[in-house]
Amino acid sequence: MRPELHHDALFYGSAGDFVDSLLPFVRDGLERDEHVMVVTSPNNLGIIGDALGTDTEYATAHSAEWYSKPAQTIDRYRRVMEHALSSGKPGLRIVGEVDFGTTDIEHAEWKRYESVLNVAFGGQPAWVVCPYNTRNLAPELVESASRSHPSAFHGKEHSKSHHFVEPANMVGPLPLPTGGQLLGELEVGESLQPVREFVTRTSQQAGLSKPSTEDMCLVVNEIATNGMRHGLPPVKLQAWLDDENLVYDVSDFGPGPQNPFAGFIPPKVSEGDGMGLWLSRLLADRLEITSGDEGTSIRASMSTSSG
Amino acid sequence: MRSTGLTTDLRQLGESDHCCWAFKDEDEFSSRAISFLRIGIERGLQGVYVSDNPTEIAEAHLRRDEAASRLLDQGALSVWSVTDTYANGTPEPDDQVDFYARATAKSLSVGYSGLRIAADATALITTPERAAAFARYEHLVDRFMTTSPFSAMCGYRSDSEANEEAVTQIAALHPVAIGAAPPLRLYAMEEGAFGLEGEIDFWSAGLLESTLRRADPAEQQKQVVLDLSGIEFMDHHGVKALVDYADSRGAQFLMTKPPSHVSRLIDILGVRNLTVAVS
Repeated sequence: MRPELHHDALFYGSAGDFVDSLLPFVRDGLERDEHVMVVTSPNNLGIIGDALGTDTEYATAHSAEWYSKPAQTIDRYRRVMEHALSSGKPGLRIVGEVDFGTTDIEHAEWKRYESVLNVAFGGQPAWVVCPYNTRNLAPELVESASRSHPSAFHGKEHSKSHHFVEPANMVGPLPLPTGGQLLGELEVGESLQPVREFVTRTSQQAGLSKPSTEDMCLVVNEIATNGMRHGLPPVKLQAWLDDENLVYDVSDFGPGPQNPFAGFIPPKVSEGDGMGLWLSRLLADRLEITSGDEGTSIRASMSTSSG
Repeated sequence: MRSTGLTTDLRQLGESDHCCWAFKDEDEFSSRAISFLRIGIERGLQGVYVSDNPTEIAEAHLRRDEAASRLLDQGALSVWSVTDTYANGTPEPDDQVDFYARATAKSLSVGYSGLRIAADATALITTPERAAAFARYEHLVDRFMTTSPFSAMCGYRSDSEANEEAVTQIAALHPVAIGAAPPLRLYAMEEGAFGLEGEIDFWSAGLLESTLRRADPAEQQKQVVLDLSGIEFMDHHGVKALVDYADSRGAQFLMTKPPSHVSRLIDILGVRNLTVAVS
């Protein structure tokens, strides 16, 4: 029994390394009747599957699908953990090979995700090993793993990482698309109805699908609610459109959320607080919070070609 | 099907409809109340105007309208006083429903196809205690109407900020609003189901909480069917109000016809006492 989260990086250079390190990890977990899940490439899944044989039961997923959006991935792991523990499993073992995407922003999003994971699942009886392919991944991604993982895994054993950086210092805001065309702006008043009308109109104008329009309506409604409740007025809403994204910016003169993990950690419905930002991160393609002397700006974006 | 939502056309209201009007001007209320009753009488219902004034004064006032005067002479229209009708202003919710059930049966027994009332009920919600008891009655009578040829226009004068809040609380328990609509409406439907309409966000979630407590839809059944087809918008504050109420009553909501954004929200939040019915 491990009472706390273990989050290890595994550096591997070949399929042989991958199997040699992870096969004992998976087998050991199965022997302990823990819930085992392996998320990696179809190729690696095949290799592991061949080595384990057909009569073993463990969950699998493809990295490219599982690592769709950081908040969504956190939500998926949360559900897996809740389900496993409520069905009596003593703990979980997860092999999670992150798909870092191709763009700089995607790289930055997933590096941040690796840091957030330490906090999102701190205290869970789970051992998560994240394999990093040192031959395929950009050196800066491999190097970041030592900062986002408290320890490194070497097959059966793990050792403390001396480069680990406190997650709170790793989760700052990333750049969001700016500029393009200003579709409109609105000062948020007492009623949120005009906010929803504004979002519906501008989303339709930008060519968003009906589900995406509804999602953005929920997102901006939640962010504007937070601005009204916790920010310093005036709360201003702007809609920007460039070639790829529709961006909503809600700004006020307050200091913004004090918790650096705001919206990254799934809250309980019964508690209520923190729900708005969590939902917003799940529903929007991207969400960034920037705070400074001039106040706070929260931006949510949605691709104009999505869904 | 009973009518729901905001309406301006009184002709759309049928023999089991229940509407609320937060009026500002007494003369405007009485003139539309008479229209509402006259339309019902033309369709074979018996009409009763329940006035805040003594019946003689109210009747004299009504007789200024020629059509109303004729209907009074024919006996199809009557005038009752609020005091007599509502147990000196402090009715027991269940007893008051019984009163109208007996009155409806009586109308049917003398050949009318049902009973329709128009009441200025302002005097019945002047204190928070009275307003709470009367809100409970408004919901119970709404349940009664789903299976009876009894229809009502409930008027409440709304002319101060203090009173506006009380009127909104009451209006939220009527399926139909005339004039200004409250942000949400919770009402009874046939076969023990309930309907929830309107826009629920941070500002109106408190109204949903108090409305659920007053209507108490889980009182007779632990699985409450809630029709959401009239929801224009609901965010997580609305979902939380439903979850909290269901938790407090050890009940479950089975939601029918939710708008797509509400289904998505419930799916994401993964709350165990709200289930979306498979249609």
